[in-house]
Amino acid sequence: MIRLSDVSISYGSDQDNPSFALMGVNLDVPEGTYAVLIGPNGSGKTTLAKIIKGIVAPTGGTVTVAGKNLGPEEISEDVGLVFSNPENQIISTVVEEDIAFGLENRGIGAAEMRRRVNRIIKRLGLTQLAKRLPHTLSGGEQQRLVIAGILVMETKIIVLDEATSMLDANGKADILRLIRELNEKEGITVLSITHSLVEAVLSDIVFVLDRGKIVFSGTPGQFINNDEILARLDIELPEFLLVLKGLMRAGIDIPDTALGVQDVIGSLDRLRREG
Amino acid sequence: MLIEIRGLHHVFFPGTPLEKAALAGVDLSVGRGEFIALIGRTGSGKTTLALSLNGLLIPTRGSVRVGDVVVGPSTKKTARLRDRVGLVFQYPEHQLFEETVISEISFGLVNRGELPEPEIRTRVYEAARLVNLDLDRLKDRSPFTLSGGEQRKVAIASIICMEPDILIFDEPTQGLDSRSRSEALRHIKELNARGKTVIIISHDLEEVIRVADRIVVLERGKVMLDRSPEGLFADPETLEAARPFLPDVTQLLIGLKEKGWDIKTNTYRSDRALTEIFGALDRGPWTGQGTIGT
Repeated sequence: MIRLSDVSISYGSDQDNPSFALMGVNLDVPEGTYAVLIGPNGSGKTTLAKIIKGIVAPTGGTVTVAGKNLGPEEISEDVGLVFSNPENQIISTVVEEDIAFGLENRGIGAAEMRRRVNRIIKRLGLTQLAKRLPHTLSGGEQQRLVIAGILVMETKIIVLDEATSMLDANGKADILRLIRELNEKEGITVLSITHSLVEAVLSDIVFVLDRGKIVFSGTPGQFINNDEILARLDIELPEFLLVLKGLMRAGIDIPDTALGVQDVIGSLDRLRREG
Repeated sequence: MLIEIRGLHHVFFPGTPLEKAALAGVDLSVGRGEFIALIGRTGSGKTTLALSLNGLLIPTRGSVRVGDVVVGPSTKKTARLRDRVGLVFQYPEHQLFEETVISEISFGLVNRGELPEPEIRTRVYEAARLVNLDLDRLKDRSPFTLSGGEQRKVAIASIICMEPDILIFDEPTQGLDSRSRSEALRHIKELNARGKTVIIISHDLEEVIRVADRIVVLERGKVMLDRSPEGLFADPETLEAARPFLPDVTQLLIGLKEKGWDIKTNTYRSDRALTEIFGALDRGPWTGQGTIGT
């Protein structure tokens, strides 16, 4: 789980009149939840991701990750961060060595390391790519590799900061599928920061950050039906979400979480067959 | 035609183990004032095509003609092409380097040394106005102190003030939030309405289908489809060919049809899709956004 209680971060030299990047943020992502955080550019999203990992210390409030309060200079080993450009997170020149990097650093023995790396390679479908040079992989494959490097450390919480924003349509779809699979099948807790509203509705819970404050939290269904928040953020819903909104407002009973195209096809088709 | 591309091939690292044919025979004509969306996966040749249009890459085979400037395999100088074709790269704000916003935007014109100072100033203000940048407020600021969206506007204005006839945008909405994204597309559409020929590169058809006049899909270095937005939905073969790029609404309708629903799949618009779905669910007609039906 991830819990932020009254987290603030201020900057600027004038101590009596500080500027706030985050202001009294409360955020609760229970274990096994797939949460999404959206918000305009400059709203404080990346700062929030860094606070959860412990790279940036808040000036006020407490951060609890996996049941433990994070100390002021403590980096959380329970959280894996994925950024938008995978090239910035890949270190080694061979895929499997890159996966092993964290384990090696932590001094895990060779046999144990081999066993764990092999398991992750299989689990993430990287077998064909294990001996390749990371820079020859597609963006989606590289991002998969970054996630492998996190999971091999037996990390149970993943925070993604626009992890699909630099990928093409295939890469995006692939990474979103992987994230959902890890969440649904293995109970990995996910907090994904994104600009993609279509990704936002795949989740269990949506948080909206605006000017350093959480201004909305609720299910994807509640989010697309909250006209006040949409207007406040000047959000134009993509056509697909307008379809979902139209269905929901007409009282058609589709779930209000995990709203991918395939999920909606399934729900609608069940409704039709059941009359 | 303003632009004629004939049999364009581009091979990177020819004769080496890294040899890669990025363009494999592109034929494409673009008329003055058109708004074209160039769609394709990563590696389909979109950016290579843009670089060829702007003269940064010389064709391995074939030719690119823009107005009266023709570039072929033996062409040495392409500066005249660059004057006519402005290329806005992905993350153009990464290329900012000047000390003030105004010197950043005017850099190209000052460097060219052809225009008197007052004329440069007029052009810079006009370019800033076109991208909706408040130059009076920002002109003396360092571009690096601006927000990401403002930085991008400065970078685009610096290209527009060179007054190219043709503007190419490579993934212009990459990394922008929802608000800045629609704003950016609106500005690009406006530039088109003012007479600029626009080519926008995107991997997201959904985003550009409403603004472009023509959708050109590149696949493995060739033009796979070239249709009007409505034309993409006109016949089943085209729809199938475009399937990987189709908007979510269309994917939803196709998925339902594949489950045996008797519905039309030829739209990306929510109102039409809702009408189809309501009809098939036997819920009576869909009566409009936000209406509670039965």
